[in-house]
Amino acid sequence: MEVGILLILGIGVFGGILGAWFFQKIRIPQVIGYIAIGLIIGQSGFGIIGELQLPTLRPFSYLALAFIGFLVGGELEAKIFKQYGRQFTGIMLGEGLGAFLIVGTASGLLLWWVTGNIPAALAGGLVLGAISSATDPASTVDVLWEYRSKGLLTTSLVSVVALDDALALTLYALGTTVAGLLVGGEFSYVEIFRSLGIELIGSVLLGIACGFGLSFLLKHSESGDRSLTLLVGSLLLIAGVSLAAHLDVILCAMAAGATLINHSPHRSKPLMHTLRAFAAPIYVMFFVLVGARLQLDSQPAWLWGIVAVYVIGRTLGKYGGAWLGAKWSGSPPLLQNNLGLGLFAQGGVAVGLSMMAGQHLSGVELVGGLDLGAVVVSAVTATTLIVQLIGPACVKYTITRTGEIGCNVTEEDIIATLKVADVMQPDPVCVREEELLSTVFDTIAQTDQLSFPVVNPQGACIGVISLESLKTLFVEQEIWSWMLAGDVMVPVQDILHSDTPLEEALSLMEQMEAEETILRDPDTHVPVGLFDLRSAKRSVSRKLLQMQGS
Amino acid sequence: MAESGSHLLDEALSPQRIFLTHARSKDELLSHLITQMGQCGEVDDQEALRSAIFMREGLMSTGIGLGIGVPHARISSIRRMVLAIAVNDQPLDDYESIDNQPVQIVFLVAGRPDQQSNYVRLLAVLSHVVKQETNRQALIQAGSSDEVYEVLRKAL
Repeated sequence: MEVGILLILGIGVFGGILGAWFFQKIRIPQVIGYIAIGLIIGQSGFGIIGELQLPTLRPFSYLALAFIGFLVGGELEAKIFKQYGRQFTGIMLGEGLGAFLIVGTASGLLLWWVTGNIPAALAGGLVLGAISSATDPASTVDVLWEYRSKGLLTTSLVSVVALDDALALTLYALGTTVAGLLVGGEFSYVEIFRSLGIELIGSVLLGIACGFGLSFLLKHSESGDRSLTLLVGSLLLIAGVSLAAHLDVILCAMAAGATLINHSPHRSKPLMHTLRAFAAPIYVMFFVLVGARLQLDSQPAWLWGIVAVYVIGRTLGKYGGAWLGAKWSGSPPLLQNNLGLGLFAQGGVAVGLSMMAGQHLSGVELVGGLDLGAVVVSAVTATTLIVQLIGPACVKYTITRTGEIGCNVTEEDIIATLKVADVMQPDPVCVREEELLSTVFDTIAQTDQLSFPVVNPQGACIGVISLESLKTLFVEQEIWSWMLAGDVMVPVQDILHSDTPLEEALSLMEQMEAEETILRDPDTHVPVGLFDLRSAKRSVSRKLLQMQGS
Repeated sequence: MAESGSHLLDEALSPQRIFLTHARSKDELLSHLITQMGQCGEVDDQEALRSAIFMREGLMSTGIGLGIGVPHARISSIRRMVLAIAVNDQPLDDYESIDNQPVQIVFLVAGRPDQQSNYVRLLAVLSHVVKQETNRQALIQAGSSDEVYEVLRKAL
């Protein structure tokens, strides 16, 4: 069946959201839900997104990478690098080289054991090792954003995953050059170094130039809407120019984001926030496509051995390397013990490099008609699936373990999670309708309530003595001895219920210009609580401080 | 905002709602006043007023002492706050009051539920006026509705 691109996008985004919702219900990061839906509708599943559609959708993935790169770059503030630059570099080198060495050695040995071909085994080990050093910033950062993580570990994770792409590209350049020499292919290491050098430096330079250009344009942009349009347009241009010039889209966008945030932080911070919300469906589709692209054909058993060695070696290398790097650079124990756990995700860069390696090494025959290029592509595809399923879960685990989960919250976030019942004062002091005003005033003097529910003998709230009433009554003291609470109460307005969302409650109170209101049971009319604006706001501030760990 | 005492009285009272009565019981007197008030054109539901007044008396008698009764209620079936006055020819022993004195002068006040401020103010004004012995005596000795009305106007 021919499925139109728009329908695919619709199915992808909608299905991705459903998948994310399901996975969130079982407390697994949403990004795994997106990828799972991609697997179901992709090449390994129903084939709705198949070989025909994937090339057409590739530009979409590049655009998503530009968004991700730009937003990750937006997190790289120079002041943080000045403070922690040495630690970040140490950790990045440790985890990247750790994965490179362990995966390279283990997979090389396995390839040698299977094929008996030492040069091919060394070449395969080098390339797989280099590819394994890359960490996927997209899914890592998505988990950090989803769970509103904030703190030193979070900042370090973002910085390390942003930086290690450059390390992966360098290691890949080295690895493929040596591999070329070993297997005697038509490799020119000068050429590979030159092109990767151009790719790295060119991407960063183009990104910096775009960042400055954007900063200038935003300065002269009058409205927020226009700024967002300008930003999206710039990211389209960055992605387009990077692809045309064979540069790295994510690195270029990252450099642009980092330049902008450091050059005009006040203007760009709210814009980054808006862009993040705008980019949500693009992310969803990106990860769905990641899942759809994964192909799990029948492969020889030893290839699964490579996959296992790669996953285990990479996990050990990343964790151990990050620990060593953190220790060497004098990072605090928080980073030494936990950062490595957040570096398992593998994504676009690894898959892209495996595709390149697939072409470069396709002439190296191994056993059973398989060539080294196909082995690298298959191994990286399968491992990507596995680590994309465990990587985000580990990121969540490490931010939970260090208590940084949920710390990046605002008052609005807190308000959005609360209901009136969470902040109301339960069991307010009531007055009986037949109580004399003189007694009522005695009661009032003993509490800090501003409104008093007036109840009948059955306990139902039939009115309220409000602050406004109290002012009038206070002047007319001669009637206190013979007027009853029921004589001076005003009708109850059922503005709120216990289950009214707090956000709606605050808006209603503002509309009514009310400071305080009584809540009644809808059936029995028994007063169940007192909603006071000042107390509600105090509760929100208290919860905010608790969540921020202050 | 609460209005001044004399303005409130002008708005709520007219000489047509002042009665020199010969009732022999509290119920008879209150029923008479409610019926008269129900015919003044401001009360849409006389039975609702009757029910509210007697329900309030059920909670606690409105004899406020010094021979004065102030039955009162707020109901939604009334157009504006109204006051009716009865000066009975003899004190009523069955009208309980906080000083146990029989009640002879009765002010019946009916207001809307949303008129809390003026309602309280009017009740306080009436309470203030009848605290004066001279005002009370003048009201008891008045020979006509107009005379009662004038006593009150002068007192304010």
